[in-house]
Amino acid sequence: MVSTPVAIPPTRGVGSSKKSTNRRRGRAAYLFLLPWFLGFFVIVLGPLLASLVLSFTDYRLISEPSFIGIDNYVRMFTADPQFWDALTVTAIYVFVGVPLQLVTAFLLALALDTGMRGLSIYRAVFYLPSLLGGSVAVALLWRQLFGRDGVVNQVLATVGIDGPSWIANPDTALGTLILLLIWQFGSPMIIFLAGLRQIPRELYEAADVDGAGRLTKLFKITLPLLSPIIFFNLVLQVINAFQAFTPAYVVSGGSGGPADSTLFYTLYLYQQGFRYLNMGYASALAWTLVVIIAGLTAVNFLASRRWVFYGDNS
Amino acid sequence: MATIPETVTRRASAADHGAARRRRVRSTRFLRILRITLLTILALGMIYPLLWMLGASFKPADEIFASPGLLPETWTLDNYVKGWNGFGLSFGTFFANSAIVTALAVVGNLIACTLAAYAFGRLEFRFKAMWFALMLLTIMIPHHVVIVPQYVLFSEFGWINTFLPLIVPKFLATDAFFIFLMVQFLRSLPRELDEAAELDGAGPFRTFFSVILPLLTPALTTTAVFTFIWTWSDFFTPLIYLTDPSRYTVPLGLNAFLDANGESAWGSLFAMATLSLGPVLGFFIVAQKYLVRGIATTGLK
Amino acid sequence: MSLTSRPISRRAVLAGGLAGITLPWLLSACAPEGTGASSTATSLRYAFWGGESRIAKFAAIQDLYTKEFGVTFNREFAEFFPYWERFSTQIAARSLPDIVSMTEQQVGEYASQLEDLSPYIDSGKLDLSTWGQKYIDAGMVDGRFLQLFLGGTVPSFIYNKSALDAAGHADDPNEWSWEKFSDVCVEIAKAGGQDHWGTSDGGGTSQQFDTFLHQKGKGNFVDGEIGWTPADLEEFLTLWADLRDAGGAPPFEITSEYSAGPFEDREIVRGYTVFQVGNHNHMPGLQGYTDGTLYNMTVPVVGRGDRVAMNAGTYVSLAATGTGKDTAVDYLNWFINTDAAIEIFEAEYGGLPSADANDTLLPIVSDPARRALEFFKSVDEIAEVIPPWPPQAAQLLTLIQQANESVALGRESVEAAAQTCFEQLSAAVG
Repeated sequence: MVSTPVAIPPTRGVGSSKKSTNRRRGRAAYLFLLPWFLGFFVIVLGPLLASLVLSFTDYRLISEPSFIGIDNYVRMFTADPQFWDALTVTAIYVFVGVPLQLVTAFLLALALDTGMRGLSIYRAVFYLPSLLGGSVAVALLWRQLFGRDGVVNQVLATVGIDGPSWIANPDTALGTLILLLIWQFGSPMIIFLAGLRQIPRELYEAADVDGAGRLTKLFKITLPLLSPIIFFNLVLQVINAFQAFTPAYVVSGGSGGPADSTLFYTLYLYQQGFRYLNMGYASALAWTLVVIIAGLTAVNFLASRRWVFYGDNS
Repeated sequence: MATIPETVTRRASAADHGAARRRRVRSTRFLRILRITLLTILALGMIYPLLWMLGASFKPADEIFASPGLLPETWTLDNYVKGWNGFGLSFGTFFANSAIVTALAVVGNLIACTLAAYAFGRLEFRFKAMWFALMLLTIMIPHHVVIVPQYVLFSEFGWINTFLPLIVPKFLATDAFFIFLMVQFLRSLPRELDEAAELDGAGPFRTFFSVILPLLTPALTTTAVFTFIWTWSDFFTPLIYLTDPSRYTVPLGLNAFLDANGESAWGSLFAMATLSLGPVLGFFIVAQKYLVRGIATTGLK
Repeated sequence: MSLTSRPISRRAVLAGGLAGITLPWLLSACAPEGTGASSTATSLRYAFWGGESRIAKFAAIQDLYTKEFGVTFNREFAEFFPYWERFSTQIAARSLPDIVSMTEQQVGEYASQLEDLSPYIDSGKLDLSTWGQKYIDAGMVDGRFLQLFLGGTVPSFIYNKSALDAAGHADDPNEWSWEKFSDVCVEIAKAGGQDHWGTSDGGGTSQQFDTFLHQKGKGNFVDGEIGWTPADLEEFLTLWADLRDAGGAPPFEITSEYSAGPFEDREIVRGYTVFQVGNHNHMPGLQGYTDGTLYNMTVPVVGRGDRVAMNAGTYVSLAATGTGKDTAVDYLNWFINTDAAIEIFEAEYGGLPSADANDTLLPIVSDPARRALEFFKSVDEIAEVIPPWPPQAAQLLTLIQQANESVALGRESVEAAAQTCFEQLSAAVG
C-alpha cells in the first residue's frame, strides 16, 4: 500500500551534514557523467557546432565552405517547394503513424503481460518485424505485399476488389510506409512491457482484494505508473519518426517517389547533402528540423506535467 | 501533477466476493480465448513477410519473382551455400565482425548510459537542466549531417577502417536515447529507496550499485536488446568507416549481393538475411528472461 | 569555497575546449589538397561499385597482376549509391582510395581532387594507342585528363525480337523513325490487350532526352552549360505523353512500380512490353530472365534529325591525394592492354574503347553478350561519348524524372513541367 510520503529530515549520522551530502552528490554526479561529458565534448559537440556553422555556408565538400549568411534558410522557406513537400510528408507520417503505432504497441503489451502460455513466443514474433528494420530485404518484401500483383491485392481479389499498386500510387505510397511503421511496433511494445513489469504486483493484488474491475485497475494503477514510459515512447517515437530515413530510402530506392510522396525530410536532406553535395544547404535543413523537433519535444515536456506521474515524488 | 493512486480501504462483503468471482471466471475464459485467437491471427499476419523471405531463401533464383507464393516449388539449399561463400569472403567473417562490434557496443552503452542516467535521474548538480536539454538535443540532430564532420574528426584520429568509430562512442554515452530511457525508468522508482540507503550511510555510489541497479533490470535489458539490434543492422556508419571488406559487418555483406544495374543475388541475399536474423532473435529470446517483474516494494519493507 | 567562482572559469574552459575542437576540424576541411606521398607503392586501394560477379572479376584480374608484379590490392566495394556516400565522406577527409571508379556525371564535381594523367599518356606509360580518339577526348576536363574510359554503354532500347517478329515486324527497328516506332508500340499494345504496352516509359530518363537532343545537334550539357531550351524539353515530354495517351507506353503507376523494383523484374521480363528503355549492356542480364531473344536498337529518330548513339562510360581516376601513382598507372595500363585481363573482365562496363579489344572478346563471350558487343561496334561511327557534366548537373536526373511524373499524373502541363525543370536546373548549375 502506497502512502503519501512524509518528508524525512536528514538524520545527523557520523560526520555527515546536508551540505557535505550535497557536495558529495554533486561531485559524484560529475564522475557518473564523465563518459558522457567526454563523448559530448570530443565526439558530438565539435561536429554539432560544425554543422551549425556550415548551415550558413555554401559547402561542396571539395572546396572550402564560403560564408553566405542566411541564404540557405531563405531559399529553404521561399524558393524550395520540395522542402514543404518533405515537411508535409513527414508530418503526416509522424502525426498519423506514431499514435497508431503506440496504441498498437500498448494494447499488445497489455495483452501479453498476463502471464499467459506461450508468452515469450508471441513476444518474439511481434518483435521480429522490428529486427528486420532497415534491411534491404524489406524493400522487396514490401513490393511483394503491396505491389500490383502483391499479396494484399491477391487477398482483395478474393473478395472481388481490384486493388491498385499501393506502392506506385502517390496517394497510397505513404500509407504503406505508415503501415511499415506500425508493423514494427515491437520496439515500443518491449519498452511498454518492461515498464509494465516494473509495476509491483502487490498493487494489483490489493486492488483485486478491494473489488476493483479491469478498467479501474487500468486507469488507476497501470496508466499512471506507466506514464513515464508512455511519455518516453511518445517523445522518442516522435523524434524518431521525424528523422525516419531508412524505410523511405529502401522502399523508394532513395528517390522519395512516387512523385515525392515518400520524400521524408531526412531523405531530402540526404539527397541534398550526398547526391548533390550541397552540404551547407543540408546542414541548414538539419538544423531547421532540430528546431521543429525541439519545439515539439518542449511542448511534450510541458504537457507532461499534467499527466505523467513519477514515482520519485518530484 | 497526477494524483497518487489511492487504494480503497473498505473491504467488500463476502457474498459480493463470491458472485463477483464467478462472473469473473466466466468472462475471463471467454476473453482469454478471444485474446489468444486475435493474437495468433495478428502474429501470423505480422510475420508473413518474414515467412515469405524464408521461403524465398529456398527458391532457385529465377523462381523468386516468378512465383510470389510462400512455398517454393523447388526447394534448394543453393542460396545458403553460395551466399555463405559469396565474393571470396565467407559470411562467417561478417558475422564475426558484427558480433564483436555489437557485443562491445552493448557493453559500452550499458555502462556509460546507465551511469549518466543515474546522474540525471537522481543526483543534483549545477546546470543540470541545461545539460539535460543538451543531451536531448543530441538525439534530435539528423545523423546524416554530422556524419561528415565526425568522419573528418575520426580521420584525424587515424581511426578509419577500424572498429573504433563504431565502438568508442558507445562507451562515451553518445546514444543519448538510452540515457533518456533509463532516466524515465529511474524516475518511476520511489525515492524512499535512496533515502533508506542513505540512512544506512551509503553514498551515491553504493546506492547506485546495490539499490538502484538491480531494480533497473528491465531498463538494462531493453537497452541491451535495442543496442544489439540497432548496431547489428546499422548500415551507414560501417559503410563509411570500414573500407576493407574483410572487416565488413553483416549489413555491408548483404548489400554486396545487390547490384542495381545488373544481376543481384536475391537468393543469396534472402538466405543470408534470414541467417542474420538468427543471432538477433537469439539474443532477444535470452534477454526476455530478464524482463521480469520488478521487486520495487521489497525496498520499502 | 563558494560555488559562484567556479562557473566562470568552467565556462572559460568550455569555450576553449569548443574552439579547440571545432577549429582544427574546420581548418582541416579547408586544407589545401595534399600531394600524394611517394610515387610507387606495394599496395593499392581500388574502389568500385558492383555486385558479386564484378567483385569476382576484379579479384581474379588483380590476383593475376599480383602474381606477376607483386603489387597487392585492397578492393573497396559497395553498391552504387552507397559507393558515392562513402566517396563523399572520403573527399571531405581527403582520404580517397588510390584508384577510384568514376562516371562523367560526377567527374566535374570532383575534378580538383583527381590526378591529371596527361603526363603519363604523353610519355607513353599509359598506352592508349589502340583507342578511338573520342574515348581519349572523353577523359578531358578543363584541359586535364582525369578519367580513363573502361567501358561504355549505349542508353537506348532493348527489344524482344521474337515478340516483334510475332507481331509482324521483322524489319530492323534500328532503321525506324520515331513515328513508326510510336505506331508499332500502339499497335502492339492494342493487340496484346490488358497489361500490354509497346514500350516502357522513357520520358523521365535524362539519357533518352540526351539522345533526342543530339539528334538535333544539341545535348544535355554542352561546354559545361545547359545545352537546351524549355521548348526542347517540351517537345521531348510531349513525345512520351502522346505515347502514353495512345496506350503505347504504360501509365504512371506501372512505370513507378517497376522502376523502383529489381532489375530482374522489368516490364520486358514480365512480357508487358516489347521494347524496354535501358542501357545496351544490360541486355545480357535481362536475357537470362526473358522468354524470347533480346536485341539492342538505337533511339528512333525524331523528325528530320540524325541517327545517333550516346556512349555513357564508366571510368577510373586516380586520387590526387593517393599514393603510388606510378604503380597505379602501370596497373591500369596493364589492365586495358593485356588480353588476359580483358578476357576476364569481358564487357562488364560495356563496349571497350579499343576496337582490337572488342574483337578479342567477340568469340569468347556468351551469345547475348556477343549481340550486345556487335551492336556496340555497329554504332561506333555514329556514337558520341557523353562529355563530363558540370558540377551540380546531377540534379537533372531527378528534375527530368519529376517533370515526366508531373505530366503523367496530369498535375502539370507539358509547358509548365518543362519550364520548371529548366529553371531549377539553371539555378543549380548556374
